[in-house]
Amino acid sequence: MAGMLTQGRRVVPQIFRRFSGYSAICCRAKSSRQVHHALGAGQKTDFPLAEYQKTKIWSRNFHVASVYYQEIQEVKSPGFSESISEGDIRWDKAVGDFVQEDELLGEVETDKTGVAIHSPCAGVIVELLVEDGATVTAHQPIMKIDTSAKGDAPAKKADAPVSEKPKPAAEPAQDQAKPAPEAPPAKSSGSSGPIPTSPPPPPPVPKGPMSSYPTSSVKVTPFEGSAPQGGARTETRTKMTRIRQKTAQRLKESQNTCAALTTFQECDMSNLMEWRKTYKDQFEKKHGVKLGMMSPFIKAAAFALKNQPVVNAVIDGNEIIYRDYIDVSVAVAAPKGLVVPVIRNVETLSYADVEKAILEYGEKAKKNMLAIEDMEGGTFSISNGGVFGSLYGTPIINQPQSAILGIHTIKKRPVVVNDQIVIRPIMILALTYDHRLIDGREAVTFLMDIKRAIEDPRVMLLDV
Amino acid sequence: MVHLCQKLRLSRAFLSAEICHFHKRSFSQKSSKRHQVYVSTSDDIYTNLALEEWLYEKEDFNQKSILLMWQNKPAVVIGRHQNPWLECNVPKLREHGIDLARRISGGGCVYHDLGNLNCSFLKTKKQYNRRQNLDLVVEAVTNRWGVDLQVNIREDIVLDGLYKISGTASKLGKNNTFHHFTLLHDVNEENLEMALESPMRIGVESKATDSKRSRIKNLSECDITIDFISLVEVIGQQFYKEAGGEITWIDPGDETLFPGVTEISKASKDWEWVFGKTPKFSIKRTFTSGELRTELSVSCHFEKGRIKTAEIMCDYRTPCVEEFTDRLQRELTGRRLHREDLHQTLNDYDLSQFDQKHSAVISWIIQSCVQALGTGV
Repeated sequence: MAGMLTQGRRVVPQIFRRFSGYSAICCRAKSSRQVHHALGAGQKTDFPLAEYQKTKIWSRNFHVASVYYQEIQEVKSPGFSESISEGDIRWDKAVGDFVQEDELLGEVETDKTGVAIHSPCAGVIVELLVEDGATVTAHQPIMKIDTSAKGDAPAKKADAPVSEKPKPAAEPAQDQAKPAPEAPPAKSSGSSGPIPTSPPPPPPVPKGPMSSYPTSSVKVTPFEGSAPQGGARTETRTKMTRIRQKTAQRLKESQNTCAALTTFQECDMSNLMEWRKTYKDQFEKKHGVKLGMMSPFIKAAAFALKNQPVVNAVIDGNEIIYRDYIDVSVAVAAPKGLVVPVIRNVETLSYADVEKAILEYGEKAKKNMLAIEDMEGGTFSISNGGVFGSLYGTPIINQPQSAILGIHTIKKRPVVVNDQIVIRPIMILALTYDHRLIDGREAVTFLMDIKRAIEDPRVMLLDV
Repeated sequence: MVHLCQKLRLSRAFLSAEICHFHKRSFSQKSSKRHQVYVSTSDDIYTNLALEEWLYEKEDFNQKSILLMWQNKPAVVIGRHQNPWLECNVPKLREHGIDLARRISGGGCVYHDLGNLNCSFLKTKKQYNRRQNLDLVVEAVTNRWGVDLQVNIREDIVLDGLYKISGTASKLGKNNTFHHFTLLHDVNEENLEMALESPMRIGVESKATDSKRSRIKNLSECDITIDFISLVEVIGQQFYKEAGGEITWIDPGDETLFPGVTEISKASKDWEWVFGKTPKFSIKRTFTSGELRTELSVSCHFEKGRIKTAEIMCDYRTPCVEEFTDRLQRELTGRRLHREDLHQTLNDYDLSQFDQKHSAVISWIIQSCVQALGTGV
């Protein structure tokens, strides 16, 4: 009986409340979700607003009349760059805090970076118009500051409704329901890249890789004749960060759009290591920057791309865009994870220029000063899968490009040279390419060009 | 009444249970309190050493151990009780803009640049174990890349059984200790040799700690994929094997996290610390001039980086030369062994007051003094 009632409706009827231990449950429970669990159902709700209303039963909207007579300044969220339309807000201050002019109030976390919010005036925060973790658009009013108040003006009563709000807001199911309808139109405009025709709408945000049968509800049947299985079976849910959500979406989009397959090639690194050792000190002395590992690969890629221009091109609707410039995206380690800035016009750069560009991006990344423009575009990517020792890998193409080169770890292997077995340091190169555009012959030749250029840089000098 | 108390007790129990649950949830996300890995975003040697000193003095290691890693722009770092003039080439360092720093731990002199990784293990006295730290790093690197690394008797990390790629030093305090060492993966060997060759080696008597020189080799020569970022990841992961966590990048100049660190960093750049803390030493040089047929002996005692006593004896026994040497002696006493100070004393001499023969002698005396004292500054 109770089960039937609760499966049908969220609002518990009066009659039920009077006659069952409902009041006892309510006293102990802090939110209606716990009431729901106590009553026995385990499904997600379709009426997030209904639930939201319920939790505010014991808190009344508290209006301090004197608020209207003070000088209230509204703070708006900062503007974002072109391709970003919204972000999640993270507050550093709370209601009742006194802030100075230009003090950091919080941050809006967008897909790629965090945009700081500075206070336009000094005063006391009286109201946060959006709660921590909610989505905001550019120039949306987000906070009210009382500029006439000085020092700590305690607004304890106003804290109560604000502190209650983050709890239901933290429930992941609600948040997935709320941003999902807003997200697809915003995100399709938010995808970086010059493809003008609208791509097919991205698939709806999946509710998780689980089937409709959550693993926590699986009954554990013990083996016959064995002791009952121990071990905890609790789960924790955390909300995906914005960056992770966007990355997940972009990776999936890439897989859905490109007909991607990967071709491999072995590359003998001994020559490269030898000439690097010979010249690196002089290189550093002359150019003031160290000769790293990436610049030989970038230069080799530029050489190969000139020979196979289709790999530098991209499909746009029914047309192929061939690009005369080579912009290579390289992964750079940053404190918050890997970022992928773009080195522009690589075909015109020398080894020293490439190294300087990488160093500059590395410095910017450390200080979290990478601009969004630095990471947009690119005609080809190089990904380093070998940081943790990966031997082979199939990198995923970075939209809107058509190919990506993956470099991996170096392993000493016995190889045959001039009918003799010798030990050489071998690296596996992987090229994932879009087969809609690039044929097998072109892809394999392209990868062979890179291999030849790495194994013998004279190939690049003579352009053979 | 009882019912009310029961209710309160229940609610408090429920509240505390919820708090525990909340903590448990956040615990699994944040790094474990037993181990922490910090990587510095700064490449200034003074700032990084100041951070290490701050952590050593102010942090409590009973609940956790810290591994701090950093790299810096070209710099030479000498041990607490070393003599910079004898360990490195001070004028060349100034010429090339290479920093010179004195650390608070003992040991020998090392050259740093961006191709060098510094690791510092900060733990309590009970957990102080240098061998364990070095073994951890060797294991991490050999598991990931197939290089031949070993720790030898002197607790150096040796590559291919021959080349030294790491120099180690440590400091033990009342409760806290740190053990730090370098790891050469891609240093500029030419610069290293130039920086660590001191021109002031002849005729010196010193009790300062001496550095043992060895042949070196870069790790990146064995495998080109070894660089700062990958080493940090691999060593950090190994450190976390016992208790999982994350590698945190920090700004060592951040006063909110490390109050007082800027002061330490400023003090470490001071001449009094870098040069003034040099243990006593002395120089004795003799110069002979064939054409003037004289001999000159210059002998100085240095204390705290300053000339304590100077004895300049020339056997060209004329009153004005003797008067000159006496005056020179007096003026040099108390001077810092610093280019500016010496420049003032040794270069501002008006030779016109002497006749030709004397002026030749005087200028030769001055030149010899410059050679004796000035080559290292």
